[in-house]
Amino acid sequence: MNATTNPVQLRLARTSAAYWRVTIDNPPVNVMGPEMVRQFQEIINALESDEHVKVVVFESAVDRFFLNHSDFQARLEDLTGLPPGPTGLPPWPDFLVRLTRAPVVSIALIRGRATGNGSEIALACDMSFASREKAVLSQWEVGVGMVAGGGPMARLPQLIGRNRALEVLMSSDDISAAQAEAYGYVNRALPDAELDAFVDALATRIAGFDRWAIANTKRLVNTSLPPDVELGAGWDACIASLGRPAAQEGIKALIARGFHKPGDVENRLGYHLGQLAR
Amino acid sequence: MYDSEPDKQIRLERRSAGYWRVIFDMPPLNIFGPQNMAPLSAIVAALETDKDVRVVVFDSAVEGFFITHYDFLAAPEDTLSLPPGPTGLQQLPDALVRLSRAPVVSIAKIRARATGVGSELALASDMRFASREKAILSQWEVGAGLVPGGGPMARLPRLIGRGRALEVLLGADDIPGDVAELYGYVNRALPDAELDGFVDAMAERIASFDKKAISETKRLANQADLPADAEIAPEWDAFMASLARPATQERIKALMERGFHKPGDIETHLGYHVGQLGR
Repeated sequence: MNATTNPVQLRLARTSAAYWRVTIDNPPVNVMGPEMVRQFQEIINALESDEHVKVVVFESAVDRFFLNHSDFQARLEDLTGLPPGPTGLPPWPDFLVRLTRAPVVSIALIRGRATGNGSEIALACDMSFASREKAVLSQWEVGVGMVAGGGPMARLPQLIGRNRALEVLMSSDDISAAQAEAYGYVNRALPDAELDAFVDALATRIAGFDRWAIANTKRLVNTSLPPDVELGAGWDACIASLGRPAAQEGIKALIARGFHKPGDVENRLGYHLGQLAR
Repeated sequence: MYDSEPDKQIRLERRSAGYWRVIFDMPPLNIFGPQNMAPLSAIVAALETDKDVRVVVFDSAVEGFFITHYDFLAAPEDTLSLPPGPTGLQQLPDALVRLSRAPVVSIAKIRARATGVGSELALASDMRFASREKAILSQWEVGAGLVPGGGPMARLPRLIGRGRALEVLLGADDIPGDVAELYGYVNRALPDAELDGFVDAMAERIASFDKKAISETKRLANQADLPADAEIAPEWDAFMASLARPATQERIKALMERGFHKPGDIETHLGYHVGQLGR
């Protein structure tokens, strides 16, 4: 199935005026192409302009995948040709920094692989909760000769410490939910059967709180964030890395082994990256 | 409102020249009020200037409570009329930032509820040890429409990472000892029966060390990671601004009607009860 033929890849549902849910739905493997990036812009526009929303939960409708890597079968110009967002950053880092700064609590509900972009949206969210049995996080990019473009070099060291951040980024390996919890990469890894109820209860609780108190408390926490220019630099390094023969060959080799299709390369990307150069 | 006299409410005990204990004794709930500000500040001043003290342990004499939230029954003028402290910050954040920089190791021993001010004192301390079974930490304020005022938005992200800090601050829930340990909110959660012995042994050990080595090491560790006063200052202002808002006054009033500030389920399960207010 061609990822670009699915028209509505992000579905917004209002559980209440204060509590929204965004469902990521681009089967079969939830890659993020230019169209999904464009739809993330619509989501953040709506979140910023609504006066009542206090909490948004990001989740996935695609089995085994929360949000996956970018769509390398799309035309690069379709992505790089998208206009910058209101921050002046290209639309993906623009979405991420605006989400982090929005006066709305954002929660990532991770059940399945959060690879590359999936990890980056989780890092931009205010908090994340993962399925102990089914969630996997990864910043796979170094493994294919790329530099990650959505901010993990800026966010991970402060979140989990330099040593663990470099382990995640340089190993480019699959990080289990239990390990992610131990590192603080996610808030908690919960039994899969309990995850939905836990997140729903927390979101419902926050939806009942005072919006001014939420917004000003979050604003003061945000004073210790990395500056946006760090995310811009990361994006530029990502695009530059993509143009290099090493990355192009790596991606080509992965695609030859089944990258972008349901199967073992997507399911165990960390393992397969380690096999590329052998 | 309190079952003990103001000057007996925060007691300084010198175990030895090097090892001091500060006991909070404001029964029944260890609510922290404007009358406690000057005594706390005086203790911090003693810690800053005494040439022998190397370690101070903060503890509570009140069952069920380390220190809980601020006193919302006090007259507003009692808080507003307090002069700023030596740093220029208002009295509570002033005492806390001075504690975090004092040339003395501070240890919070948490056997019960450390809510709001209690959590903030623990966060300003150099280390925190909790009872696994009985400790509960919380920044309950957002649940009542308040913004916390004593520094947690600056301290918690550095301590436990932004994601867990926002869960604590914006979820405004009770965090039990085992989760607090998992998150790093406390250094360790120990079996209740072992807590006193562990903290006492740690304090005795540090009290035997060289004061200059302690204070220089702490000063340099602080350079790496302590928030600047300029980051702490806006939190108190936001707290006072939030307190004045009608929406917040209504939530506090609703809590009072349910028994806030009195022994009972509201105080013992504050996290649960603030979650019921908005429904």
